[in-house]
Amino acid sequence: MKRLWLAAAALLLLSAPHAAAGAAKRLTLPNGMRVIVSPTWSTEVVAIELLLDVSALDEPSGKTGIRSLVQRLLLRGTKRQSGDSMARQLAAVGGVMDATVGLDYVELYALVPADGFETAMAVLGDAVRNPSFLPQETQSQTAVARQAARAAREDPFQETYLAFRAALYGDHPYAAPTFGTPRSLASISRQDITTFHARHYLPNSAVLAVCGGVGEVRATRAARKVFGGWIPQPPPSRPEPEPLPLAASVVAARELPVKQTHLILGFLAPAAGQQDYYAMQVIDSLLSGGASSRLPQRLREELGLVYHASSFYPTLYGRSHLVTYAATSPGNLSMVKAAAVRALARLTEQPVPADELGHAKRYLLGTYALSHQRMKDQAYALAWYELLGLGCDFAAHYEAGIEAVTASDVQRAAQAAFTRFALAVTVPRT
Amino acid sequence: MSDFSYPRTRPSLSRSAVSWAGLVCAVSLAAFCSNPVAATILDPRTIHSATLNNGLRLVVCEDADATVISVDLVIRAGSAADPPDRSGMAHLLEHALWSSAGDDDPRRRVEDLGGVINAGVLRDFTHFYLTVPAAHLQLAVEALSDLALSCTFGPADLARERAIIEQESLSRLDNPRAILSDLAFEELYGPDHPYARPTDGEADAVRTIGPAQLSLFHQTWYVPNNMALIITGRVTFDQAFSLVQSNFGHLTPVALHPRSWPPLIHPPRGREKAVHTGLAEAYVMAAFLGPTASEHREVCATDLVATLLAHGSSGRLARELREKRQLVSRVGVDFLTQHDRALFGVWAVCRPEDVPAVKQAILAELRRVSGEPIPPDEFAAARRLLAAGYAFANETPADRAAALGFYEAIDTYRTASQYLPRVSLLTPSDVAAVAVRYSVEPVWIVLSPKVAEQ
Repeated sequence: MKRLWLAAAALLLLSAPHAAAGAAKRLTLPNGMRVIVSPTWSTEVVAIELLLDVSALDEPSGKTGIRSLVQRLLLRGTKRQSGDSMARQLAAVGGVMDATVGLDYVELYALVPADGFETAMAVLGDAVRNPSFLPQETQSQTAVARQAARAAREDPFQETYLAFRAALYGDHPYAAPTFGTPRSLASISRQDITTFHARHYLPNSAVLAVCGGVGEVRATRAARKVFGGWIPQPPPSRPEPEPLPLAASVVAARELPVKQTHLILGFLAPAAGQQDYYAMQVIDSLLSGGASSRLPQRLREELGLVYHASSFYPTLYGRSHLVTYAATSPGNLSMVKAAAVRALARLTEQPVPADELGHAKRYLLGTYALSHQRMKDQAYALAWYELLGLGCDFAAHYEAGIEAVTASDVQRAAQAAFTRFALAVTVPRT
Repeated sequence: MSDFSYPRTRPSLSRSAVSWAGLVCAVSLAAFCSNPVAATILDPRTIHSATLNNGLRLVVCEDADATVISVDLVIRAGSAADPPDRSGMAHLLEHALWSSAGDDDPRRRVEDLGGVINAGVLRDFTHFYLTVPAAHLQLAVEALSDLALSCTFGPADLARERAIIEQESLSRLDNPRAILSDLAFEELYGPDHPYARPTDGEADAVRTIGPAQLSLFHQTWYVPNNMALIITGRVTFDQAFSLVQSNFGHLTPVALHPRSWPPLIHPPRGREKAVHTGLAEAYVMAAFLGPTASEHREVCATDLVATLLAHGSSGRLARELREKRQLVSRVGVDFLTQHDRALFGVWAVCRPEDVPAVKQAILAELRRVSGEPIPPDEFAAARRLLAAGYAFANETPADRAAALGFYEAIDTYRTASQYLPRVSLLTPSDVAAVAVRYSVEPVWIVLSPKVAEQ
């Protein structure tokens, strides 16, 4: 039965992103913009996903958060219309749009019922190509962004994660908060914003993915109409520093007015698609993929020390990180830390038993399929894999890559990565 | 624009980020939870229901295109069924049942297929739910019956689950939005209505609950005539019926305790509950009693008010309080339909010195909805957004099982497929009528730093 399901899982993985349609179609517009279309006829929902290769590494020194400010302002008006007018047009067709920032990209996306697709494409295209950056909007959004940056630092997970990244990455831009700091945001002028947008927001740095209830012809026609006239230019050169390996394990402590102590302990880990990428995905699943995985078993079921214990391993263009995360009463900190260290050390010391490895892989692949059911998630995955250079058909490779991971791959990857760690702890302020 | 950034990783993001992302999502979805679907999504022609001889309800939503099956087992006993001096009983029982399963752990069986399984306790109901590949309907139904029906945990299991719940409650105390919500329920419903108590339970009460009391609670409420099974995805009604009959048909119905909740009356207008925190930001909520689940038109109209006020960045609150006046960093509306009257809460995060201005601005926006005609294009757009949002919130079989189960627990599953037609019939006068309820002086909840008082 299990063997049968593996075959079924393969089908599922392939079919989930493209249910009731062929594979995703990819084309490149003359201006270098890549367009991926994956129709699903059984839904009237359409997701439009635009990712731009504008990275944390592109932010000028001292101007951390400039991308998040530009992204906010994209929604606040263009040379043709006000932000309110954009919102009204979208609302009239039942569409929603948002702009976000990741470490490796900036994102603009819309969700819309199929009959409003062209409207949503037009608004989204206008937003990214022709923002007006009116002085008054720039000023008010800077104020809003500064307040949001202050508020974000009161979230204990966010604060611990930032402390961890600062300890692990040092001067590397992955250390900085993508939403900036009140001080860095205050130093960003309107001129900085317009210059940054003009230099970095380029069709040849963009990937557009459309998933859901519109066909290839219709989606492509809209993409050409909205983005065809966007003029390409050579992207600015980008310094690509490698984060330095830690000379020694580091510990960072923060204080917040909270009840629980939050702990993140982790290591540098392979970039997307690099050697050991798949093994590290499996390690992540062994550690916290489902209730019977190692961290929840030990920390929750056996010791009763936490409500959640988890690990995560972001898919990043540069050196990523694999971490364990838990929140617990202050008095439990040393026990939780010891258990997390032990779980990580065990992976380097002993090969994973075959049945546990099989379980971790099945869970990983099954939940991978489940998490790509929604149009938004499908479109994001297609665009992100394309932007990473892995290809929009990466989902199929992903499955094969995971299947091929052996117990010795896991042990070797753990031994290579789990050397000097960074540990961040946020403790209650007394 | 998202306030937080988090590295997207593989699908299990929701698991990794659970401590905060889960809460953020849960609340932001609240406005849409109360409204499910596009006509093609929860189409009544695809939904069939039956009642077993023992009273168990079965609702099946067939979707031949799906690659998965989702099952949601609903028990109509949530935290509101907790005995008054044993707050947290429903929650502790839900925890304890996971450890009753023994070696043949249903969780492990489901996760071994690449499926997901979880449970939750709300005020009106408890549910256990899972999603598995389409070929595994039998395993899915058996896993849920094993989980919910076998009540055999020992004292050690209970001690551990109490410790875990203590951590769960602590993490809630580190979430200002959750504190705001808990206080609003306490102030608005207290002291005799069961909705006033937190769903997780009160720590002191949880410590006093023993195995015998949990067993009694299980025998009282986990009975077929108080349960519903919702099955969605690639499944036919006939398949589902025969499996449910063989796994749940043997259960014996039990006379249900009648609900004796005190009638709800609005607390004194303008009452304010102020709590000091160590945080630098202030959190404010204006709380009102909304409609009950059976007041269908009022529920839809309230959803429309929530959409007008708080839909994305185009809602009136964000436009006025955030974009125009920069008074708040975040603002929104919580409204989740319940069996009895729901809480309608407008909340904001702001600088402590701006609290008075924010309160005034919130009231002004609420009164504008009832006092001024809504421009026809804005009304039409809000109706459209509400309908589209229902489609976005019900894309997957798991979403649809959750929506059907939610309504079956508090009213009837039919509400899920009748929602869109009801939305399309809404008129500006329906909205104005319901908005009057939210233009009186609310109960205020304010969390602010101590320094602001000096």
